[in-house]
Amino acid sequence: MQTDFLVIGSGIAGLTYALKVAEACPDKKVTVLTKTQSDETNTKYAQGGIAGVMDFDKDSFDKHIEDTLIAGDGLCNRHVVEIVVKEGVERIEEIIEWGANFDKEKDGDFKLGKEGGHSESRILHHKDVTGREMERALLEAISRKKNIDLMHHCFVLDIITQHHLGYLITKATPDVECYGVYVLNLQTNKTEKILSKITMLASGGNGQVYRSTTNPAIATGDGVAMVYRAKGRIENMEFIQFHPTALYEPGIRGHNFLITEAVRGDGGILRNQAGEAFMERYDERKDLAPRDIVARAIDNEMKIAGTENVFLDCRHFSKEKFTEHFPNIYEKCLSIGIDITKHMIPVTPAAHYSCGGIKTDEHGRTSIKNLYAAGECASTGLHGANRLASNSLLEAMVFAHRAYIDAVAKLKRLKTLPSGELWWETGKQMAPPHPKK
Amino acid sequence: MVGDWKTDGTTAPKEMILITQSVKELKLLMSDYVGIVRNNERLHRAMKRLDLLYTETEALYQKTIVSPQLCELRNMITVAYLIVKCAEFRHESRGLHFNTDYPGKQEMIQNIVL
Ligand SMILES: Cc1cc2nc3c(=O)[nH]c(=O)nc-3n(C[C@H](O)[C@H](O)[C@H](O)COP(=O)(O)OP(=O)(O)OC[C@H]3O[C@@H](n4cnc5c(N)ncnc54)[C@H](O)[C@@H]3O)c2cc1C
Repeated sequence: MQTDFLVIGSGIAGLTYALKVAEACPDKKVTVLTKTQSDETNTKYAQGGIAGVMDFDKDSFDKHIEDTLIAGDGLCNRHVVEIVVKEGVERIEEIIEWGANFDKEKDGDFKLGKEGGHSESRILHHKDVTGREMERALLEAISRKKNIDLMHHCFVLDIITQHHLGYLITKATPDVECYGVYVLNLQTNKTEKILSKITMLASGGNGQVYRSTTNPAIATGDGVAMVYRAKGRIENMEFIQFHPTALYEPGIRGHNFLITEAVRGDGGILRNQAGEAFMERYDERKDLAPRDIVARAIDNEMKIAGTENVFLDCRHFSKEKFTEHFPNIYEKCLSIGIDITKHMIPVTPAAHYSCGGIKTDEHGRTSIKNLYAAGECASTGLHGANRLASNSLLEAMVFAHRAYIDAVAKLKRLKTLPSGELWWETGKQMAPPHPKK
Repeated sequence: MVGDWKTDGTTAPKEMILITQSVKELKLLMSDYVGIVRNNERLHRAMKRLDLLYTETEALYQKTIVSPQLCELRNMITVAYLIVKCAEFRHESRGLHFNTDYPGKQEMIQNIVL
């Protein structure tokens, strides 16, 4: 099969890009691949919202830029931060035009939330299910576009490069080119190849590498691994953001249930296996210390005792107060046999977000020709060493847009796909690159 | 044109346990050794274990028909390797990366590219 624009991933990055290229080139074919159901993405689970400067009386681009740089702890690319903050506002307006609803005040202004690390209120949200709302709006907009073919249950195996034409490709090879992908169609159980002059990788995060994660089962880092196998550049993978308190449920596949930090704000106390309220040993603010300190303290207690969890004690809450503030948490705990008024809640840190990824430039271009990357799988330089809350959805839209502009211009210049005699009859049989090399 | 995916000489995996057990091992070792707080000893141990998982999984990959489970395992091993390798290269504690053997920050700002 052949297509004009190939997109891997149906989260916010992939769908935003697909909509834009389809709109700009109505006579071209856009193919979007996704490995399970179309809406099963990290995007769907985003709760908090999307950051953007909306109220220019109180807030400013400079403040959002400064907050992002502080979170990134010296490692952000300032130029990229400026791009994302300034262009982000237009992207938010676009997704509203495409039909996403964000909560509003009575006077019609957007309700703006404030999150850790933000100096002003600037988080647009849709109740606590912002990602689901954005995913819904995007999928609906996609279904109205005649030239987009969304193929679900298509598992991408590898990107096709000169390697598959029999050439030796190493890290030092200049001009590695991407011609499309090999995909395992899970409906027919056949392996197919899809050729395309331009490919966008928007394959999301990799939280599943850890025992506990807030990411759904699809988040296995496929895109990063494929690009690494194809000798593309990967950057800053050590920066994994953890949520300090997810419900500890051994052996679950998929994501762990989040126990919001607001429970500690309301008086929940962290205890170790011995029942000791350990936070007072780490910080005078005890359970209300900043997230990093709490996360490290929990990690340390688990390491010392050699256990997989600590406990959050809410037994002193009245049932009425707890169920009023945290009805979902109450129900969820009860469903696994934990009555929070009698038992402590087992909690554990969970992998939440990957700051690093496939290295891209300011147009979303990877080190492999004709291959773009956007969203969580990409490393644009925005997050640096730590992500500011609610910047990731914004980043995905800004770079999907920038890649679309570059890709549409490029398609006109590109020659046809290579064809000729020298075809290596293989996808899989080539020796896989050893990670040590 | 580009060649089709080749399946000659491969068979369906006989036992899923070969895959699911490796996934479990991978997740455990990453959470226990490469979680929030890291040190050189833990990173070194993680790498040794990843090496074994890598060797076993590549051997399985070469002789079985591809399945999403096997491919995801393979991808997760690569991603875990990249996380550990980047963590080993960073001789400082910065942002989300905290290594008790290098508690301070280096003056030189460095992106680690593999
Ligand atoms: C619980 C939770 C809460 C969050 N809250 C927020 C928040 O409040 N604000 C914020 O800004 N960010 C938040 N984030 C982060 C944000 O949701 C993600 O970073 C973002 O949605 C990533 O979007 P994406 O398009 O890059 O990838 P995803 O939305 O994860 O989409 C990945 C797509 O790639 C496809 N794919 C992957 N591998 C393959 C393959 N091999 N073959 C075919 N298809 C493949 C998947 O099927 C999927 O369609 C949160 C994340 C989680 C998990």
